Amino acid sequence: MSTLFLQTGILLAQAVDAVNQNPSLVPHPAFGNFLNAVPDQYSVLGLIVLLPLIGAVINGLFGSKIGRQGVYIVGVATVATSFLFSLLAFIALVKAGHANPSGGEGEAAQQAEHAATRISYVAWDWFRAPVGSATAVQIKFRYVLDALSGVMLLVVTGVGTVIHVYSTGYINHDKGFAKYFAFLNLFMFSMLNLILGDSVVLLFVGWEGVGLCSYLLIGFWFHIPEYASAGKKAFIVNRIGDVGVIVGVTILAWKVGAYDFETLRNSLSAENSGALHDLLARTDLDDFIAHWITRNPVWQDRIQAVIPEFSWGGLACFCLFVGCTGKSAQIPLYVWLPDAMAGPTPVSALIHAATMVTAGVYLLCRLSFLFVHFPSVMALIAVIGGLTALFAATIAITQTELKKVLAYSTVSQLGFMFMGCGVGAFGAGLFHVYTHAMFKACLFLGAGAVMHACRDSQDLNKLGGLRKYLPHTFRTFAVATLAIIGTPGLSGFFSKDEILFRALASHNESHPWVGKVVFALGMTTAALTAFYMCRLLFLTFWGEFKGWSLDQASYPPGATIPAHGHGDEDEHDEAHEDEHDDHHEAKPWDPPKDNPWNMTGALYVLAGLSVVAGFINLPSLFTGHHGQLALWLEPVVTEWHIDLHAAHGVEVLAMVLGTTAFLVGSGLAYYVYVLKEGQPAKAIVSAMPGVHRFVENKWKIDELYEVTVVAAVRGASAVANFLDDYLIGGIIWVVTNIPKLLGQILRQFQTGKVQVYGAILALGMLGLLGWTMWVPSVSVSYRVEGSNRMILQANGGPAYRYEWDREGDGFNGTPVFNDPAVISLMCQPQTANDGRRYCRVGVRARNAFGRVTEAVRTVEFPAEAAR
Amino acid sequence: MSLQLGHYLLLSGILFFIGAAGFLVRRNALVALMCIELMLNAVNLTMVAFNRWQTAAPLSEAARASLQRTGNDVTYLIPHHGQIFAFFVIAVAAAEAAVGLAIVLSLYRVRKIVRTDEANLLKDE
Repeated sequence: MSTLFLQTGILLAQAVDAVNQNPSLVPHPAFGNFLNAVPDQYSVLGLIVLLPLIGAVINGLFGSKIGRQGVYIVGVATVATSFLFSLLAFIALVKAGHANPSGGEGEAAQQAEHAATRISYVAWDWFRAPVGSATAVQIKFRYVLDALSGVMLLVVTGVGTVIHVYSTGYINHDKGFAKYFAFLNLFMFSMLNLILGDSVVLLFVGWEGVGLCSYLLIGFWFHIPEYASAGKKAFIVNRIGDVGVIVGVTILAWKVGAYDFETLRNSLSAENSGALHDLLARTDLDDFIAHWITRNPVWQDRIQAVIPEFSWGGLACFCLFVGCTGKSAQIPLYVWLPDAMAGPTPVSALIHAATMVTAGVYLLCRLSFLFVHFPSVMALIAVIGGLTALFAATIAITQTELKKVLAYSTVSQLGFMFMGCGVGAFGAGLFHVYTHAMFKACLFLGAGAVMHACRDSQDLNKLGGLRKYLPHTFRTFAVATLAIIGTPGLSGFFSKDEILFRALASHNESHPWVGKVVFALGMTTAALTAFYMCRLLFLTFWGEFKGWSLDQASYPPGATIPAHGHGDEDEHDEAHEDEHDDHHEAKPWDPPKDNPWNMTGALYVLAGLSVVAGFINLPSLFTGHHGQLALWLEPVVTEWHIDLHAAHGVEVLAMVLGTTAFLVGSGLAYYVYVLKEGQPAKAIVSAMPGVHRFVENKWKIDELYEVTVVAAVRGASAVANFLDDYLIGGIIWVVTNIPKLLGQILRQFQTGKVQVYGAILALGMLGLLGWTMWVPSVSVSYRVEGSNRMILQANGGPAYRYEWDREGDGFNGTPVFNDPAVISLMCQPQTANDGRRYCRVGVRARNAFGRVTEAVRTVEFPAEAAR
Repeated sequence: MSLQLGHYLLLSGILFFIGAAGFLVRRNALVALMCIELMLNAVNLTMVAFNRWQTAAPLSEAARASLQRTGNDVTYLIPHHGQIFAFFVIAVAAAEAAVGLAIVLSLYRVRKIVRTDEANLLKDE
């Protein structure tokens, strides 16, 4: 925490210094130093990331103190300021791009110019991470703004700001407003780390951070068990993908020796790059198969036919893609996103539609320089994207909940983005990220507005006719719908068309069929999208409003309708009661009415953006060259090259077919749900109830996972639990019971009665005494008198009797023990080799119990010469 | 017959035995404390007696020389370790009695009784 404040202080001080120290900057209207991008010193980037964190800390720790208005101000102001700084940084980036000296005119020079355009800020050095066995590289907290992260930055902070404003209206009746804004701000912080981080490590920090915030916000109303488990589901499914990211990153670091994108890109883009060669090299799969799988050559050939190429780079790409399927809800890990609609609707708009779920696409674009070298993985990405798009669209047709339809629509649109990336058109994928953020956020917020106005009712069977009651919501929702279904001229048309065109025009080196297949999938999906989105629009806003009339059947006119009892998600927002209580009691079936300005305004902003967002990347058919966005991204995002002029025919074809799909889908929806008021749909449902139920139950994928993956995990956990209980537990039981048993024995002596302890003490003393009495022991002490007389004393004990061996030559004969303890003795000292003179005497002693021992003593005399 | 060392030791032994027997037999905590005092005093008596009957020990040459420099010529010194030690024992015994009486008092407050075999609150069972 202190680091945080310190960092804030440093940043602010730097900002102030920048103005103070350079007086010429003060009157300058162009924000002075903020527009001059010094390498690694552009502190505005730090502020962009830091501000939402400050908001999160203030709201999280002091939210209850500063009150509702305070939380709103802090929550919105930090993110809005962050957005303003993002604009500033973006302008600085553009300026830096123009300021770079260009070597000449022409495309090559322009590319060189763009490639160098990058502004960065180093917050601090973080830690040293190993690459390979002996070397390590420094991981920094370094934020980089380049063309790619610039686009993402504006989308995230821009849409984020709008949604924060909207949230002040949406959360206005909930007690958890401080928690809500703290989480939302923390999400912004994590997301900004994700997109601005200069290394895969920092990206992963953000990646996990957004996952955490997603979990927290899905389970925002965690007291409802289904919502809490939806949060857990999202978290766990994402963890599966994250393993992929970690493995992929590790392989990259191991093989290329770097974690930061710049170094990775440079090492892989260089001519005859050794790292690239390493990554592309077919690894020793043959040996692996022969060693570990089968020795049968026939089977070896078959396995190799299934896995045509195996390289470390391909594996890294595959693992990273697995991570992307988790975060961006693709087959097979998409299952969490529809359940994630348990969270508050603005969260669904921000996290589960506009920003976080596009992180996978962002990662693909960021590492596009790597992915383009692996056509098989690209084919997989494209096909998975296409299948996800189609699959989710079929489910979306049958859903009856407003947000569920939008959720599957999001999955489907994400599939489109992956299709774009998979056919080598990363820019087109990112373009769709950008347009999708606008219109899908608008749709979700519109759905939230509908629910907010209709007491959280989101059942399509109960809604209808809201055109009359919610004119603002209707207008914006309709515009966003028109955008997503690809109405020519609106943003969705351009981005979707670009993806379809690039899919058709692409050529996958190892799997040439992919482009055509993906195009077919995309075209079908486009038609389905038009159909189900129009169905959603018509069912919600056309016809008669059924909600209250359905309720009237159960409540007599004039009765008070309980606040609970409407819709399927009515429980979660208890605070909504007070909003509606007044007109409940007056008239239960009062029509819904539009929401306050902060919600409606956000809708209009996003609807406006949905209209104009596409114009930054007009198709080459109209302009004759790549779109502006594509040109802007070109230095950062590597793509598979296509010849635009040769592909004009294909582009016309794609555009005509795309428009046809739009017309067919929306026309069919208009026919079915407006002209015939849903009769054909009911007819089809009653004709094929089984099929309808199957699709409505999401193709039973959740159930399939339940009986396969979840059951397998449960089985494994049961086995592990069994082992834990009986194997580990058994060992521990034995180990713990040995001391317990010993303790039980020793405990008998611990009576707790002090006299018993005293008695044991006394007995011990007596035993000790008896022992010394019983065991005989004797020693001899002496004093020398003159040259050959010695006084000897035998020290035994009470009642000892002694017998001396005066000559020191051992005892013989029967012992008599009649000598005194002290004797005086003359002896003739012997002389040793070293000149010392000594006598040897022995003593034999008998104690009171008649036991005998003996001792021998050597008595040394002073040397003759010394005297 | 004059008093010899043996008489003192005999008396000390009797006192110690009375103390030990009383400690083991009586259940009253106060009596137990008094018995402990008795045993400690028996020990004190032993130490004092031994000190009294100890033969004078000749001084070492170095000690004698250092004393000579102060103007005293001392050849033999009677040690007083035993007596000094007895004082220490008395002091420790007094401290022990204070602590012991405090414990007895607390025990009385809790159990309204000062029997040692009832002081088993910490014992599991």
